[in-house]
Amino acid sequence: MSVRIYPDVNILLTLDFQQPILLRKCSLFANSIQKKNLKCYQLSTVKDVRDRIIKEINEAVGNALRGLWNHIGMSKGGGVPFLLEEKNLTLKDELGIRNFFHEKRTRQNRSLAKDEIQRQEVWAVEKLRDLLESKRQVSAMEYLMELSQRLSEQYVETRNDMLRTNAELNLVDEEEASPSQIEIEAIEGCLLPLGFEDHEDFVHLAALRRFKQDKHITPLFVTADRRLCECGPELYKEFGVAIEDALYAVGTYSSLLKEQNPNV
Amino acid sequence: MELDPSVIALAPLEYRLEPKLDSTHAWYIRSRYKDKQFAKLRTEISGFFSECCSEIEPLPDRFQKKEFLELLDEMTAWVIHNDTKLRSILSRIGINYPQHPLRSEKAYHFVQALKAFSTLYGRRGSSMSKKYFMGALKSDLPYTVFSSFVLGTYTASYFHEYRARATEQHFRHHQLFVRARSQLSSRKYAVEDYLGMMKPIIQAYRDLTKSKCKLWWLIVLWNSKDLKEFTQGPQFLSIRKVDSKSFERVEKEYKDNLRRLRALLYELDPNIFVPTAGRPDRATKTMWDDMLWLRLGS
Repeated sequence: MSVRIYPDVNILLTLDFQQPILLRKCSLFANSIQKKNLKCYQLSTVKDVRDRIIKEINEAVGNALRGLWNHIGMSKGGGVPFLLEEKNLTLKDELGIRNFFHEKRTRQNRSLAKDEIQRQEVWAVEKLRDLLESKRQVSAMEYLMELSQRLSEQYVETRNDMLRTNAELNLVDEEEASPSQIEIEAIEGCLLPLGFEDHEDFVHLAALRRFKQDKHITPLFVTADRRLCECGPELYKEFGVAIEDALYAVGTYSSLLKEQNPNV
Repeated sequence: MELDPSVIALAPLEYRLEPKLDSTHAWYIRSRYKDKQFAKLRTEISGFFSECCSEIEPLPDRFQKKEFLELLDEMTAWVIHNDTKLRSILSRIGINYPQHPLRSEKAYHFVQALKAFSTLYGRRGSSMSKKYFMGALKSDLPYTVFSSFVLGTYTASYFHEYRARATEQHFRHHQLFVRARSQLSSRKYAVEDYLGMMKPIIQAYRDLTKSKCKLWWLIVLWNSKDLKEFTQGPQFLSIRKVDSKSFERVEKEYKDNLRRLRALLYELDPNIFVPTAGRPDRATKTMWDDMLWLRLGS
């Protein structure tokens, strides 16, 4: 029997890097991992979710921009977006742009996408004002290209962040968990009554449970999600899967190891 | 339609013979060598395009493979002939391509040319990305496809940066810039080491460029009525016009190659991936200020 660390914090480190509290927490985790030279495994389910989240956010904001292209085309080009290339924007268009983004935001279900659209909105308004500072009007197509460029550059930054996180935590990809073997009902049954409803975490935990059964290891799932940590004792008792906050994960790892091999 | 500078960068342009410049016809000989060199580059790029094209066949009925390749060849010839900056860098790389024996001044010029190419690629890459920004807006393909193209351009730029830096470091470490007998065996091993060290990453770069070309053609060619529209860029890029099976296959290949090159580059030089913006940008800062002072919606 051995212990393995499966981190989930990289999702937050990658995507919530704007939140200083989480960034600090995750950096501390990365530091202690490097200091102790511990090996971390990345669940395939976690990897998939990270990819999917980045893609979903990019698509949501990208579609908002395409919508904006259409919206401006409708108001400027008489319903034909292709005529937009010769049209200009003035300060009067700001309200329309804000309203458009507001509407897009309210239609979003995923909070990360909502935040990102809001960020794009603020940047779009700021950019319009900036461009109009020196001249009275600005080409609509040029303006939209600027927005599209910013989104693509953000995508590049996020991908680079992800690469850095993987290297800092020295992540080793865990073999893929077969979807047919993942049974999330039992995990749901345990967590739903405790008020925890994140479906993605149910999948990760079910995959961990399978690894425990197949490989005879005690998985330690590291997360920055405070609510999931609160459910930790219950899950350990029920399924033998340990959950720990990123701040205390290395300490818990050592004590679990000691518990299993008192001589170490 | 612009020619992707990544393609130009694939050709090493080495030539084996040393022109004798002490004759009275030095200028003539040098220019003849340059012409030969550019002709060789053109042939290499044509071969590369033909390879890419055969991997996405069959082309739509309205296009003939031969005509399409001829068009690409014309575009390549135009770029090689008219882009004086690129021409000068490429000829310098060609003249000084490292091989044994390697003289110190040749090694120096090679590194300088690689650095200049890296800077040039940075500039051309950003202008080339504009077609992806525009394409992303005028399309119903997943937005991430275009973002991946931008990521590919950035990665190619990182590659050029790495190649110039690593070459300089290697040459300095092995004292190839120092004047010494060029026939020294230590120099020979250093050059061999260098070429061996660069081989896998250049191969990964070549694979990425190839799959990028294929994916872009698959999108643009299938959305164009004729070669004229292909050159100018179609008005709208629709997913319905693209063969879904080929698209899935080529997109997967592109993503795999991109991941491989990025992982390799990170392993070789993680400093390339250091974030450019350490602080929140002005817009994000304004948003936080607005929220703090409850100015939202005003």
